[in-house]
Amino acid sequence: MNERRSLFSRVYSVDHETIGKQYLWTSLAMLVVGGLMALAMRWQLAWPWTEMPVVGSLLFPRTGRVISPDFYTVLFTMHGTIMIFFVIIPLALGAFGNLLVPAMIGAQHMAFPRLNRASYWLTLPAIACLLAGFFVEGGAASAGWTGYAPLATVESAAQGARLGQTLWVVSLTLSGISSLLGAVTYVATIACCRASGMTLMRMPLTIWGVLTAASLQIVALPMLTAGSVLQLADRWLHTGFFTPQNLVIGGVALDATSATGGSPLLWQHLFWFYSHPAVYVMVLPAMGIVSDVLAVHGRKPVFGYKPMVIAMCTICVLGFVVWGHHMFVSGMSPAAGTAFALSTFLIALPSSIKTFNWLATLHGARIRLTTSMLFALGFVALFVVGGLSGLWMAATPVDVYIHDTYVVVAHFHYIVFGGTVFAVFAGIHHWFPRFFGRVLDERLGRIHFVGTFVLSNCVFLMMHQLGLAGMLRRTADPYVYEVFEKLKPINVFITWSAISLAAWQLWFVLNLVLTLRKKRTAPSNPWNACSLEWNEAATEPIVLRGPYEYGAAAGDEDWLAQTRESSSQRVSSSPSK
Amino acid sequence: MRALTALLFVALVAGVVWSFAVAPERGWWMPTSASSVGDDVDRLFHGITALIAVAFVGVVGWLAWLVWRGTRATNERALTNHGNARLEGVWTIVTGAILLTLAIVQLALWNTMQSARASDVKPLARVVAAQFEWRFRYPGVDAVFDTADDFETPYRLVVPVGERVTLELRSKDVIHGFFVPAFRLKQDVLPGSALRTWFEARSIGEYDVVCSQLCGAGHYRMAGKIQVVARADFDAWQSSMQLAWNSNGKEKP
Repeated sequence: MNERRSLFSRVYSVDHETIGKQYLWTSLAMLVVGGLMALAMRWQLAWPWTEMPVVGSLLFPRTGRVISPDFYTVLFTMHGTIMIFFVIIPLALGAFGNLLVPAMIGAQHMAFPRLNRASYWLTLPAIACLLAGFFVEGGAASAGWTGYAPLATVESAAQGARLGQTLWVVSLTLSGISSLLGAVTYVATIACCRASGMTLMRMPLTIWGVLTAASLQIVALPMLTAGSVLQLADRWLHTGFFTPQNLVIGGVALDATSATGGSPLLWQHLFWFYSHPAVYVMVLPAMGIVSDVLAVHGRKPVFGYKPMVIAMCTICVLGFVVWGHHMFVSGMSPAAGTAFALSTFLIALPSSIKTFNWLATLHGARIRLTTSMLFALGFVALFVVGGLSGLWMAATPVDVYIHDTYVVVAHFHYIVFGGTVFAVFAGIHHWFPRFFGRVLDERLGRIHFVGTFVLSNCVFLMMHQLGLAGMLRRTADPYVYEVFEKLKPINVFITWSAISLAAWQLWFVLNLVLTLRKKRTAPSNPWNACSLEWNEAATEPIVLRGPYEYGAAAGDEDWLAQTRESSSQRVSSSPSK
Repeated sequence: MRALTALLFVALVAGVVWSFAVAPERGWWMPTSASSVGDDVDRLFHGITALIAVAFVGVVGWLAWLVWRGTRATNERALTNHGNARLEGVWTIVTGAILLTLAIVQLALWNTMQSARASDVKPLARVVAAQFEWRFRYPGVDAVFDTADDFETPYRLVVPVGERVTLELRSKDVIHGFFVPAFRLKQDVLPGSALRTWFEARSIGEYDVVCSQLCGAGHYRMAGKIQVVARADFDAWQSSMQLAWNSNGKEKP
């Protein structure tokens, strides 16, 4: 834990805490990059084709300080790719997985420390590849974060389909391998390295979140990697996995230059077979973090531990059979659409059960409104918004209308920003003392929460109305259609809100900087939490009970650590009783 | 902080309810349905929306109340309550039943909307999408495509009102999306396939065709129109188009 270690030792360290922190800082830095791209998009949607003040001449000197249609497609492609593959997944799994898995289950180290180290290493060339796209001829990838063929695979289809797209595919493949190495490490560690007495059903829900998410990664990721390799083959070797016959793109008949006869839908299946489970990879650890934070700061056991675990496992299994709901209008067989609609309605059930359990956990709780608790409560509220709007999309006839509109954008931002990002903030505030020896400033934290909660709703709520009016995603200028002129006030409002939301995050940065400059004075267990990461007195802890012994019946105080011999109070052997 | 937090959640409920309540009158809402399935889609949408509204107000309102209750000053400790199997059973079964009902209810409409996929009805026109324009090809008198009497129109698709219109969708290059908001119709146009879709326009008028699937830098401006006319006008238009096409050194298919 020496603060002044050499760069060399940090780069080669196989210590999971070091790796976890590297994941944390890298992902937060990428969050800034992806966020700025979102602001550029918002500028365009509020005031299309107008000169961007201050930074315009720096960023777009060749197009007269305005965003070109080409560059707009690059912006949303890179925003999506960065946020999903280099911010949310590495935060939820890379950062919290490394920091929490060994600490919470009482493992001294990860099962495969070197794989774990390689996992982080690989993210760096992946990021470099992705960003290098901006500096090559034709610019960065521009076919959307979904990279649909043939727009992505045929070089003449778009500016960004040239070298930029190749770099995008290579970057995705590297990040896929990186995630896979990490996921294997977490699962093996959870399976093999638990402390004595730490049965599966005594693990904190955060660990269940990481376990289910990592399992999804292991099974689903190879599919995306395989798809990426096929896409590379189409690009480099002129195979035709995703290229149908008789295409004429940019005046060139493709049959003459490459093999054809493939299927664009094949890419979509391969892509979504991973990328839908990826949504749960992003949200399952967040659900776990929130469950833990609600219990600790509500001073009450998680209500229905066992149903919560079952719900997570159900999401994990069902998560594999709902990918087709991204393809209801793709031209896939209507019978498949029917099946995917049914499975999609089904997967709403475990998520609702979890929501009910969170509410029941809060019922009769003694809530401490710490910053971490506030973000966890915010998660519940915003996750409900995003979850419920998902019902529109599960109903295929309604989805046909709202597919590819801003309703979808609103929906997944409520889940990923309102959900996962809020859980990440809750987690950072909650575990900061454990890993950095300092408590983040509560007053700055609360200011940060209130503004973030209000402004994120200002940004994302009215996107529902934009979408219902028919405004589509990925359009550089919606006002080409006269009917959308009346949506302009909403777009302007959202843009101002987005700029404010981004600026408001400076409170968090300020908090981090000020707190990290202080001395390490945090008490070892500032929240009086029961779980192992706060109570590791022994090198080989012996776990006696579940992680949520809070409240009236939990010992002399209102909590009983997992390792502590109970005094006179009754010992509850299982948390699910 | 206690009051502020509860207020934030109440404000969220109020904000959501407000934004949806004022949306229709301000035009921040779906365009008036102009097709036969459109009304059914809207009915399903409104049904689900009502359900969502109840669930949302209930859950977030409850959350606000729990925060308010849970933060009151007291020396009492929280109950050490690990759960309640019966309660879990009740909400699992009730929620499950609601979801299953919804899943089944929506099936019939989906089948209706997709019924052109397997039909052998001759399409009225072929939609040909390319970066970044819509073209519409009519088969002419013989109702067979790719024969001498075909004619093509750019940008504007003309169809008769009150009749079931089947379209064949083709793309020359990348994937496009044939989206007619007023008809609640959206179908990706897949290169390499000839997918079919259908609609029945309810009223005469002009409607937007929007490309809904990212197809490149010009995606945002890939617009078209559908003009719905009376049957007699359609017939007259078709023969005049044919005449003009035949005399004006037509492009061969």
